[in-house]
Amino acid sequence: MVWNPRNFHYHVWDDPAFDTLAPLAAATLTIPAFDQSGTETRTMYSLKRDMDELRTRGHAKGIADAGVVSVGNSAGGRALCALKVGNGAAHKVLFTGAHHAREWISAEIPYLVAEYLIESYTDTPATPKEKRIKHLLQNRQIWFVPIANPDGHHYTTTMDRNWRPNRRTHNVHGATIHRSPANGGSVTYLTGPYTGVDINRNYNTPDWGTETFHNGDVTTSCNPADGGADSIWCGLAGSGEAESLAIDTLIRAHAFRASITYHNFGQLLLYPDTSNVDHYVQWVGGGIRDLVNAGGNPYSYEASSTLYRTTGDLLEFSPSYSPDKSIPD
Amino acid sequence: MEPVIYCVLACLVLLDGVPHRTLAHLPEGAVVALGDAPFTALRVRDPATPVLYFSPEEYADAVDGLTSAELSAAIGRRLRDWSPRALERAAGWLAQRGRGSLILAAAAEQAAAGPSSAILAEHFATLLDLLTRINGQGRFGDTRLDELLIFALEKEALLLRELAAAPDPARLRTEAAERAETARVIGEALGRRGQTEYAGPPPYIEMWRGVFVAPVDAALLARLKTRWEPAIPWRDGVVARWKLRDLPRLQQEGRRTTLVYLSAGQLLGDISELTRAQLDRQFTRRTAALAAAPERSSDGYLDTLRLNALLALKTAEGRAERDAPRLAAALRQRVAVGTARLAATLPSPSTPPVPGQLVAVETAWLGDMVFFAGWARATGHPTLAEWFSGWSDLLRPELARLTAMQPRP
Repeated sequence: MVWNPRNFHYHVWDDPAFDTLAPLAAATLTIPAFDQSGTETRTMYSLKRDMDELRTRGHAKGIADAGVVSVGNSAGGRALCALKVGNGAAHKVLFTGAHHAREWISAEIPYLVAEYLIESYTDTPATPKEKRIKHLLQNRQIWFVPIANPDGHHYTTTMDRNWRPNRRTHNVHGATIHRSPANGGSVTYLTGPYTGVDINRNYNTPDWGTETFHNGDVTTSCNPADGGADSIWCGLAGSGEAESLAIDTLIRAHAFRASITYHNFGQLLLYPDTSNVDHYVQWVGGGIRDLVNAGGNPYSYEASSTLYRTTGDLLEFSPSYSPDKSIPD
Repeated sequence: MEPVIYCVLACLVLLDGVPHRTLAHLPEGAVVALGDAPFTALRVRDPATPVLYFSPEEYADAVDGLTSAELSAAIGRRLRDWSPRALERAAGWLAQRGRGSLILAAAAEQAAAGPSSAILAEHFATLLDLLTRINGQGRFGDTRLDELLIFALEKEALLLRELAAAPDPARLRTEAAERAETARVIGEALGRRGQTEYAGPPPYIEMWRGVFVAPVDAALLARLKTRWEPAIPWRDGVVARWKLRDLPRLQQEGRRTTLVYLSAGQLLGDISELTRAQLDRQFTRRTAALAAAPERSSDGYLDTLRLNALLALKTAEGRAERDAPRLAAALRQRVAVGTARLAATLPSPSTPPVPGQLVAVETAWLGDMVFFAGWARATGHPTLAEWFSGWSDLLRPELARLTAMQPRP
């Protein structure tokens, strides 16, 4: 079975333009231009419908436990669609993408991994690769949540291409945050509505809500004015955003053996700070590094705080709920 | 329409007998401008003919002052990044042309008297309808009314902050009051629809600028890197995106800050499309313009924001007509206020209207729509062809009315 990927196009969450089209077809849509001055037209796919179609194809091929579920709704009511494949419930793996709305490619990688596994699967494998894929789907349960931030992603495909956080607005009482002069000094924000929590600063880690700095710039902020398009605002409560709560709940319920979350901007493979002596994490991470670097386009492999320190991010949150550190077959 | 294309040397023979203008000779080809009919004929013979620019004026502006090596680099970049998706940029181009018509229509309306003035006011409103359609077709199908209202509210909120930050905020006080009222109407409507967080003051919106900061040192570069911010070395510093509220801190550190872009989005757009030489020239031009006439630059930027805000409000109003008719009536009033404000601010006092110019510009705009429709049809993009044709069908009768209004020679 050979996987014939479709022409590469980005996904939108969904759109009525797909109503009259065949499954997996692309539609012409209008998106905001990168320079915020106007629009351009693009050919796009529908994530919601493509995931449904993958599930159908998975079922037709007899892949065990192929299904699309919603792991929760965004603040704006959009489902965080998850596709799960494989029946190896003892070895669950989670792939997530698009925590940061404008990082479109980070949604496509988990989606394409899912598409690759399902389209390449055959019940009667002949090649080593086919045998490996069948083995994986019989001995793993793999979850894909390509768009963890559907409201933000939708906003980037309709209104502001450069938007990063979710689309939640909180009314916040004004206050002063005390910071050292080296970190820019104290800041005061006014009472009012602020939009856009960085859901990758909002996970309920033990240090959620602790501000972090790098080179004198804030990298996790409690100042709601640091929300907005480039948000690094941690929000008002750990996992207090609908989107982070949905992923938080999923992770707690399933004790994933591994969790891989995609971003874009740097050629970096980051592992949790707490895991630099963790044999299992280093085994998984080292394997990914070797696989990626074999392609001839090397990525740096480092602890996440080497880049800069943050709090409330998924990378630090998920290992706490991965109790089984044995290396699987 | 006179698109500018790139012809490799082997393809130049196809131009024999075809009316065209050679704009530049490059080592491996030539930059050529040709009319829409010859372009269409050429594409039949060579479907891969890359379009570089949609007009010779746009090309001239992009390459003005470049050396031949810089020109080659600029064309190479354009061929790689822009040309493969040229048709996808057509709607944006048409919207840009529409903005030009809008300015002329506003100027003509101000200069006209009697019945002509009323017709031109109607024309201005019709152009806005068409621009709203161009701006929104195929864009908001999966967007709910509440989201459109929030979008419109955010545009008003940004304008309120920008009006207060303008060089002479006192002269903009009346407009600020109008916008505060529009924001209140939208916020209260959202509150009634269950989005109570918007029922009070407008949401906080950050103001970003493209700024030249100097001197540059390792600490500054490290901060930009932490933010993954593209920073272009220029003179003894860098040009990058900064929050307006960050500038005092940079100045306290002993750095000079000079505004280069009032719209930081345009800086990002330029960084993604232009070569270093083009950026250098662009930074020089922009810095000089901002220093020489800060108010004029600010007015131009504010007009762009005004139009964007009005288009967002009209889009929300259009959806409300369908989903919430009572709200639509309230929004319609705010659209009328926004339209009048835009009509009053758009015309530049230094460029009085020239008789016949509006008709000429809109005739060219219509020609562009027809051209793009044909191109889209010929290259298997039926949805785009349908959109472009639909827009031209709306403009055609409007243009006929305008033409009939002109005095006979």
